Amino acid sequence: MDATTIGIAGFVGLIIILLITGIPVGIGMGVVGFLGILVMSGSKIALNALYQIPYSSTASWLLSVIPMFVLMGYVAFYCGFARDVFGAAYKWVSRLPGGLALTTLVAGAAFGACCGSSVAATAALGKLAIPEMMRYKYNRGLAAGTAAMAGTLSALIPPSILLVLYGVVTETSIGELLIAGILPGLLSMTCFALLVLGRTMLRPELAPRGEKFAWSEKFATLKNPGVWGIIIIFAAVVGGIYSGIFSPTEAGALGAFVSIALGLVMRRLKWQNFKEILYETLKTTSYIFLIIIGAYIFVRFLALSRLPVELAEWVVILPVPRILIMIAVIIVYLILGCFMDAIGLLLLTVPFMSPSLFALGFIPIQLGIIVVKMLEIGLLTPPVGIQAYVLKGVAPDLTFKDIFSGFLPFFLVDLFVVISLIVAFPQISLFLPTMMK
Amino acid sequence: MAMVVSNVIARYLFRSPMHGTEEITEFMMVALVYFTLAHTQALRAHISVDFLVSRYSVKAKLICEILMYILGVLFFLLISWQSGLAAVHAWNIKEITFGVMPLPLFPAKFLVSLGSFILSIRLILDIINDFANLGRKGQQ
Repeated sequence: MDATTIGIAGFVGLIIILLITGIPVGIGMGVVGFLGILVMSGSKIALNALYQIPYSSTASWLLSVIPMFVLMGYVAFYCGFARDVFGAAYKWVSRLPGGLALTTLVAGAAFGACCGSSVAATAALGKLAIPEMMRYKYNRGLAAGTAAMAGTLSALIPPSILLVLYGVVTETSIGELLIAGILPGLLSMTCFALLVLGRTMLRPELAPRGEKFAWSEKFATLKNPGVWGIIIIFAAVVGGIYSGIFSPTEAGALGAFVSIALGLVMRRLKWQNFKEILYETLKTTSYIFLIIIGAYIFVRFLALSRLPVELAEWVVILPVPRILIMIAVIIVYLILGCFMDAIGLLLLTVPFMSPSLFALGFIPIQLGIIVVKMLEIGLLTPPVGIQAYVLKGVAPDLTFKDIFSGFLPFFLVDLFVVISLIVAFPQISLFLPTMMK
Repeated sequence: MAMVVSNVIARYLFRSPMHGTEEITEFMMVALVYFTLAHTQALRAHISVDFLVSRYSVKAKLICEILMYILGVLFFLLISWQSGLAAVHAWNIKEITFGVMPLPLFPAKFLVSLGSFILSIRLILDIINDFANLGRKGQQ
């Protein structure tokens, strides 16, 4: 067997093993990677991988931004920043058709500015928005759909854990990637909002109108401490990266520091909460890094098999337009996204296919945005739509049928409008990063 | 264990722009990850793909879990052994970090070894537990 065949066998084998044994993703990737290197290059090189990688993959200045982003998200979650932005957004848009749903989306974009994980954001927003929408007799599917989509905005609007991981594995500038996420995030929000507006205008029974607020009340929300908190956090993180004052790692540390300081100043952060925040941060960091350690071993194996390079050489001379290849990639993500979580899927697929796509002329930053959008869609699709379980957790009244049928219209808009736009117009992703230089 | 690491995070947060920040951060990252791996396993919080497995019978699920944890134990014992060698090597040659502030590397490498070893023990405990459950299931 030549190396490439072993590479393919390892890649396919890994997916099958992960599926049928339910082995933790990190351990599975590590074991298959190790065995692959063993078969290909012998025990000396395989053991050498275990000698270096478990240390080098964690002792990383770049990756230390991840625990900081996780910490920021949990601080924002426990300090109730979501409640503040939700309340403020409600005053502004509740009068419109589908007002509460729009409120949820706007609050999602705002909360995304201090939270890097869409699952945490959906939990925070769902807990607030779904009971409110139920109280106003909103359609259950609409309620579930907007809460989940509002959560996914967090994965694009900086901070974003997925964009950091993509940047590390493809050696793309993490700062530029994070800045690049802003416009696609806002574009997604706008498209979802238009969808909500359109649907509720055609079928007003989906969403009864909310209360009306005077302009004075609307402007009063601008004095809300939580809204200010988020503006300060966002300005610190994004402003710092954008202007080049500090690196993403420093921005992460500063963002976490500012969030905690704000929590203390606002007297929201109690010692008890803080212990829980640290505990949850550690747990999340730990499971992310188990996957990272395994993934680095697996990536070493892939590199030795030369599979990504061979694939790139093969793909480049394929007599098909590159847009077809992009569509194929999107379909692969749709299928794999049904079964796998976002971080594992990213670390499994990106090292494998990014050399091919870069060779075809896709721009790393734009591809990063597309991959993250697809991973987010993967969090919605059954049978393993993690977002559905999160919503079920915060709003037990919803059935899975409500939830998944509620996702469907958003899913279609996301795939056929938002992602198509991002693929067709690289400028959406690249405009802000090029302004940085 | 959690307290040690929270302390690490706290100190990490209040970092100042001094020499050696990167090196210290890297060391803290190792500590952060390898101190918590086993505990996260104890909570069963590591991510896996349970889409098919959740449809298995209880017995099949336990057998599957025992087999994959055995793999996990072997794997992390290997890591522990190799990282232990790396740590000993770092100690012998007095390996230090590149950069302005020389820091010895062996403690971090030793932590990798220790953390992997503790995770292996955790997995062995889980295997024993699974066997006990399997036995109980067999009696019924």
